[in-house]
Amino acid sequence: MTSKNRLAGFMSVILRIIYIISLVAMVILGIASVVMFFAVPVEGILDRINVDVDLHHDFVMSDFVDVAKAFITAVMFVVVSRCLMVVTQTISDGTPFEYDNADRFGIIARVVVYAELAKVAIVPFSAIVGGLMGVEYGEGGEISLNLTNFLGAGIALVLAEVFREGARLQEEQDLTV
Amino acid sequence: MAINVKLDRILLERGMSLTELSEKVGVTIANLSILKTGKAKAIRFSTLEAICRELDCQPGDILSFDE
Repeated sequence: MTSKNRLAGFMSVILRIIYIISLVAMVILGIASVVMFFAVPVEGILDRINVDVDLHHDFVMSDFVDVAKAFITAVMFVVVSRCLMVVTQTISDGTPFEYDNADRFGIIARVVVYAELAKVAIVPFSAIVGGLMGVEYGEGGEISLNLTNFLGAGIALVLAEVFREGARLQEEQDLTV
Repeated sequence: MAINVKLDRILLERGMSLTELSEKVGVTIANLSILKTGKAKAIRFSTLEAICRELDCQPGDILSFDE
């Protein structure tokens, strides 16, 4: 096994661990987001119609926003780690320059950008829903832009183009007699 | 593609098979098939030189350009 393959194999193991952890986190946070999304407004509605039900929780919309943001991050990690796992597998196999890998980096870039935009959009959405349902928004859950992630998306886009060009050259090389 | 490969015709004229040519020029049959069927994107000068030497022909006898 070459050192390149060893490194790819090591990265593949790390990415697999990240993938599994992210997947578990995504499921848990997904369920928590759905429960909180409905629990907070239901409590608000019950309060408004003066029904005193002790739901044994004290959620506000900003709590939902924090959980939803964590869920979006987990989804992003699942997609990114899955794509990178396949890319490292092709590196291990000695055939990294494929059009599929270029597409995978494109997917990574898009997912990172969409995830960041979703994390921004969830704040006004939750504030509007909270306002309609008459529940307080609470402290925290502010709009925040992670510029590092946008930079990462940009790098992924550049890598996508590099791999696309690499795949084209590889194809040309394979068809050179 | 505008470049046509006439390897088939030359081989027929010389009465040589693709396998024989492959052994003589040291290029795999798979690669010669790619060249013969016009799927090749490029040909090395060294390959062209070997083919021309073995088939006793000029590059223009193997390759032609069609508008």
